Amino acid sequence: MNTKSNATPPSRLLMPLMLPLALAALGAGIIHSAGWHGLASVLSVLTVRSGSTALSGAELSVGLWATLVGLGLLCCGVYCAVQEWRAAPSASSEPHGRRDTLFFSPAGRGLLLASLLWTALLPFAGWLCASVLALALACRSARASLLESLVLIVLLVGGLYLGVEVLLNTPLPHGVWPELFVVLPPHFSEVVDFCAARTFFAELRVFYA
Amino acid sequence: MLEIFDSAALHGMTEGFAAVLYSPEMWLYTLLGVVMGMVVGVLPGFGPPAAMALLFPLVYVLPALPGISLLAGIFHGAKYGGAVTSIVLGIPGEADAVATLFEGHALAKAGKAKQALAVATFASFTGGMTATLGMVVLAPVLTALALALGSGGRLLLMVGALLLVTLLGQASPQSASQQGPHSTRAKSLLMVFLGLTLALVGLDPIFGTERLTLGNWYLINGVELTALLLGVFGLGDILDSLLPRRLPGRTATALDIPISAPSAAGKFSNEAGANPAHAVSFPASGHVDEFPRPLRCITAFFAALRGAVLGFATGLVPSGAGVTASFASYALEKRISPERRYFGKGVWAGLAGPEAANNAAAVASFAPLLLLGLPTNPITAALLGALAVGGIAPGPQLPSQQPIFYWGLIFSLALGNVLLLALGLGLARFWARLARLPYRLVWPCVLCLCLTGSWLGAGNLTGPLICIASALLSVALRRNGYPPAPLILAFVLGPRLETHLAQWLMAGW
Repeated sequence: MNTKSNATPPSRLLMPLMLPLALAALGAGIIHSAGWHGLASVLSVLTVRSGSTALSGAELSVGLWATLVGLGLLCCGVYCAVQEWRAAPSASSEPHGRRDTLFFSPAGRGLLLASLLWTALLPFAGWLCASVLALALACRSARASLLESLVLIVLLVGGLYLGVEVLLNTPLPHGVWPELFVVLPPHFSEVVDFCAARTFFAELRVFYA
Repeated sequence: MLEIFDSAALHGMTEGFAAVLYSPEMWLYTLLGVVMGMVVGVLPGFGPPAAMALLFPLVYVLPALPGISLLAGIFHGAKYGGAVTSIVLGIPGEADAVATLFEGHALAKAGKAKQALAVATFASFTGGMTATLGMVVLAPVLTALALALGSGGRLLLMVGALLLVTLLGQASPQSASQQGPHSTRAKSLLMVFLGLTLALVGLDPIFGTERLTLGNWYLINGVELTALLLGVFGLGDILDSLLPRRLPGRTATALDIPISAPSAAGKFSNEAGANPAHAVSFPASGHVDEFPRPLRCITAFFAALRGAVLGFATGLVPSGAGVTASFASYALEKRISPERRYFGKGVWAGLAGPEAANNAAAVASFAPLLLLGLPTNPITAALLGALAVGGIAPGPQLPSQQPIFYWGLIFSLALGNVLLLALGLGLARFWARLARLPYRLVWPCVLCLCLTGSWLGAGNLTGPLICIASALLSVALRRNGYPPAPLILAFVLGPRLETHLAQWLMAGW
């Protein structure tokens, strides 16, 4: 009998507890940050509702709603954690599949990496470059063939560019490359013009000579 | 019927009708919305919330009426897309398409996929048109009811709506089977408070003070709704489907569901989708009812009418309308059908009823949204955000203050239904083929759309970052049995709840 494989690892038992406890801690943090304002608001509401005029409307401060929300988050988080803790022993009797970890799925990993790559490249390289590279990485992770990837990239990037930038007239981020060309000498913006480029290099050669 | 409308309302209705009928722009945007909704809804692994989230950024660049009509068209189209995947592949993109799947896929397996798609399209049309007519007739009643509510009344209504969604809401099948209903409700309630917490970020709507911004200038405007929607329903959906499942095997069958209230919910997918573990198993298809064709059509039509009425009534109540309506209709059809023993093996009435109910509930959910500012599901929550972007304040005064918008939107819903019928019947083969598109080609596109859309929504890099963070959060929540729908509802309702609470308290001073 393989008892080792049936045992539930402690991490497996603690994992479901972590989420509600984290949310409960967030609730506690919100109550703490609302601090005296929150307490004063709650007290003022209670006082006014009881008919007393000891406190004015100014005490209905910013902390009231935040305190209520934080309290709800704290209570529900603790309740859910207790429920999870109670349900935890039965988990050992369940069949164990693979662990739900992002890093066990190459496609999931590819998706996350592509998202981060897109976000990192966007401010510098612009939308076009970021999208092409992120899509290429995503297609690679999705095990699409080279042809499929190329068609997908061309259709999607081209379609989005036409739809958003041209039809809806909404600018997409161009990155720092255009600015880089602007700050360089004027001749650099003419590199697409072959004749201008040749003239520029000729002038450059003359200058250095 | 005309007696219940005053002359101003009739005038507004005529103007709204003219604004839709004689405007090529409105036809174009509604058509675009329906087509895009159908395309995204048909793609494996995506439901109406994902379709809405993916195309939500368009409201930033369009005027209010065309923008909201486009989103409403997406809603229609994506609902139909769920029916296509249910029937052809046995993959309901959404929980409310599960009831369609039981008979629809059995019919498809019996070689009647085309007829099943046609019946589903007609049923959707019947449901949508009945609900639109119901909205027109009931508009004055609902407006009077909404006007009778003060600030405190609206606060109570919103709290009640959130509680109803929490109590009747859907949990993942795993969590529902492993834990009791109390735990599931507690989890939904925790999601409500998490949504309210996310809504706290930014400026206080009453006093204008900063909250939970961590000193970050970009967070002063709060968490961007577009990025959150795209993260939870777009990127979150694909990330969730790309990860391995914990529990293999079956989750629900047609034999489990009927008669009682909805029990199986959540998202299912298999085959072309990436979730083989969430496959829905079927009984062997040994029966497809053998009524002659005219009788079959009449049976399906009356089933659709019953479903439409049931769906409309259910859609007005914030209770996860589509799921409740479709399962209630399925249960009703099963109860009254003379061939109830064949249910689950391909009965036309069992397909038409839930499909009509589903669509009617979707259209009916516009009534509380427009007249009370009360979203009843994540999609209408997104629409509420879109209304805010378009500068439209929903409420009982909307029909009198903005009659062209209000009636224009209602007529665009009817127009969307007509276009849906035409596209659904005309391009049935194309939708069925599109539904079989390999998932490996779908998710890179959705990734790019999500990131670009979140950037367009926020206008800076905060959008994509929020999108990625909320996708990770959404996966962690789903994997632990926490439903994300109450989170979105509470996030959208949060500032309104806070404002109504403050107004109510100040009125008591």
